Amino acid sequence: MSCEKSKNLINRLIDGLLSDDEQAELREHIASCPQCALYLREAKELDALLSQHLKMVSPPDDFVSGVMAKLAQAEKPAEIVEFSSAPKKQNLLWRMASIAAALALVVGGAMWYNGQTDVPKVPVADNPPSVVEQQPENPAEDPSDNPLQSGETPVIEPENKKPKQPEQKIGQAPIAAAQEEQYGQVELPKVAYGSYNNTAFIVNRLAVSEEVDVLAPEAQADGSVQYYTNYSGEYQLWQYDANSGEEPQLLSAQADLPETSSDTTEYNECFGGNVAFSPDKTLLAGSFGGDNKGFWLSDRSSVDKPEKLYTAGGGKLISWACDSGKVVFTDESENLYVAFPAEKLAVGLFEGEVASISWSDDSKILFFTAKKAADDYYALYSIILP
Amino acid sequence: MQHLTDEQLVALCLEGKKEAFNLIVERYQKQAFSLAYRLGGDYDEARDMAQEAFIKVYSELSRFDCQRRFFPWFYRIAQNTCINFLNKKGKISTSVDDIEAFSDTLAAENTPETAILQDEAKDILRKALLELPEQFRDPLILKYLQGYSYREIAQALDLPESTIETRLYRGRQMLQKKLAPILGKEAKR
Repeated sequence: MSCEKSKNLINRLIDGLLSDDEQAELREHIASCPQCALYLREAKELDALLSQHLKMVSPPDDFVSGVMAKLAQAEKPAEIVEFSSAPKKQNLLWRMASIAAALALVVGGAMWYNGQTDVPKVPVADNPPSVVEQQPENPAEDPSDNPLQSGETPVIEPENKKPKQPEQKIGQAPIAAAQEEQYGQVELPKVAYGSYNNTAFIVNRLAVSEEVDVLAPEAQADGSVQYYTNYSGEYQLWQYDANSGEEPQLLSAQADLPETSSDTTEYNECFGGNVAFSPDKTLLAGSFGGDNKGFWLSDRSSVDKPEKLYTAGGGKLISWACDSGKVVFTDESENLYVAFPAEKLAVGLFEGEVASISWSDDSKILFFTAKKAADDYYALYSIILP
Repeated sequence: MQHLTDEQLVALCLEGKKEAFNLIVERYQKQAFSLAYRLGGDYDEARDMAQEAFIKVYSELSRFDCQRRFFPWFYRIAQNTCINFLNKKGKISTSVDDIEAFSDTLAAENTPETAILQDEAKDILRKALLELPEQFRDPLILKYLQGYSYREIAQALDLPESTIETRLYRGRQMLQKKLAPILGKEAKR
């Protein structure tokens, strides 16, 4: 019997699932294998420790009444003062009209990505990736003039698409699989890309594994990214430079995970949501769930009330780019969005559970870890933003 | 109302019947509190975390898919709430140094392990559990804390039993590796 099979049987033995024959087989192996004998002893100790530690505990007597009291309290409108004020509709509409063309393009053009395929998925009706709460009524913006508003979301084949590489398996030694893979792109409104040549977000999957999570990306000054993997309870630190064409480099096989897994700045929690100041301290972004659900923006130099820029919000992450020109945020399911404050625009970027984020110093590359389904492992993605 | 299923109670909550949510809290308070206490290790903090978990569940009720089972959905929110809470407090970090320092203490002691040392072992185990990827942590917690069988864990997590077996195996292996300095101590001497 191999030691691997023996360990498997030990797992079943701990749970009382071994047949007599299997027990005899295991006993025979252990008698001649000191490593498996030690493994068995440790497995039993761990089982005892888990049984002893993971016991049910009775909550205090007033637990239920405490929950119900908190619930009643949380529902009082006074709990959320500043952000519960509705934005000035007139003001909002005026600003909307000034960027009507952009909005029209966003409505038709923005797309979610489906990580399983290279073809962007059409947005679902109940989760629109566009910014508008009210469509500006402007005859000049006849949808029929705009191919992106014909009712069909265009499918854009990425140019120079790289062939899909087989996923690299994780072996006994910690290896981080590198897999740069273009996921497709999202068309941008012109107002968002300005004079840049890029007219779309390019989503790349940089590192993925079937066995481990990719964690805590950190953009480096030279354009590369460092990230961690967690294999068998130990963290490995990797560096990957997408431009070099080389495999990721293992920097440390036993690294300490940094305390914070994103570079979110001035990250605070209040009013049942999260807020973050822009790096230049001129703007305050807020992402809220509940009655005030949405993404809000407040200009700190203005007396205007905060404006609701987008209908989704309430996720854990808000992260400003270093240049204060854009901010990404997540909704309650941790889907990722980007907002351009100057243009009062927000667009859905990525459908999946986003865990951590890091911006490059030039604010053009966004690295993030995310998974598409609950059972997936976190993979590393990058998006180049104008 | 006591005889109603979880899913029926959720439907009543969505109609505005608060007493239905009261029943849900009564039904799962022990599970939520135990989870919070075992993950955080502090009684008062566990009450706050578990209560916050129920508030979160209430605010998310409209997103619950009534075609699915309530408990797995509830459990996921409760666990995420606890982990976010602990993350913000910086409580999720076990360094190898912690384990080695504790292991050295044990080695230096020739006396029987004291209650304090056992508490430290539990603390190290608690942190190691928190560091496990959730797909390996979930089956372990459901097995040991809730006392679930493979089949019950599989139903709760909506996964095949074979996957549960593999994940329990892998989860234990990871814990065993992480806790190696304090496991099998006697055998190694």
